[in-house]
Amino acid sequence: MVNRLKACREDQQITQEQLAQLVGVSRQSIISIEKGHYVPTSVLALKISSVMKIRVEDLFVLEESDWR
Amino acid sequence: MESNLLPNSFKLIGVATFGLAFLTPIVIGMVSPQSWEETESRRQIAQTFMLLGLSALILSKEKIEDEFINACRLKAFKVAFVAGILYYLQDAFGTYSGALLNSSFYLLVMQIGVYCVIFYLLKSGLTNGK
Repeated sequence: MVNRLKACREDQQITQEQLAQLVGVSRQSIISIEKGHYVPTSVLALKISSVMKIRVEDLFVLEESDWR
Repeated sequence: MESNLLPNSFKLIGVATFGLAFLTPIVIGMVSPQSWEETESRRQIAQTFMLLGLSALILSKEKIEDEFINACRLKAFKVAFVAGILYYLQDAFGTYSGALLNSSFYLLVMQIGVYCVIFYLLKSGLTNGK
């Protein structure tokens, strides 16, 4: 899965720390999601999309390999 | 998400208890005469403190407890469990052929050690856990 979290966050000039506080997780969680090391649960993905006012499917995009 | 772990302050208590594992035998040795039986009981006291300390350390919450930390914890427990099985098999049939099997203490300490290393690596992002 590709995620556009870093690009969207930078567009909105939100720091990792600010985003982490807004969604109630640690900064390390945001770093791991941005690096693609960790795939968030649907709850956290919806929280992030709600805070950033972006549709969740625009933030997290399925790849061809995810269907296999 | 609600987790049934000890409060974060237990990390400090765990470290202190782990430290007692090294201090207690020394203090007992200084105040009482030494015999083989006492040396054995000192070892058991030290091992108990060590296990209690390490258990408190790994079973207490992080400062910020979230789903990422829970995922790291789960992966670390999984690796530690498999490491325990491999340790048992190596110990039973490997080089030492059961030399260490008379004590579950070494197995538990090894598993806790593996858990701590894996958990730290996952949490700090030094490995992606795949």
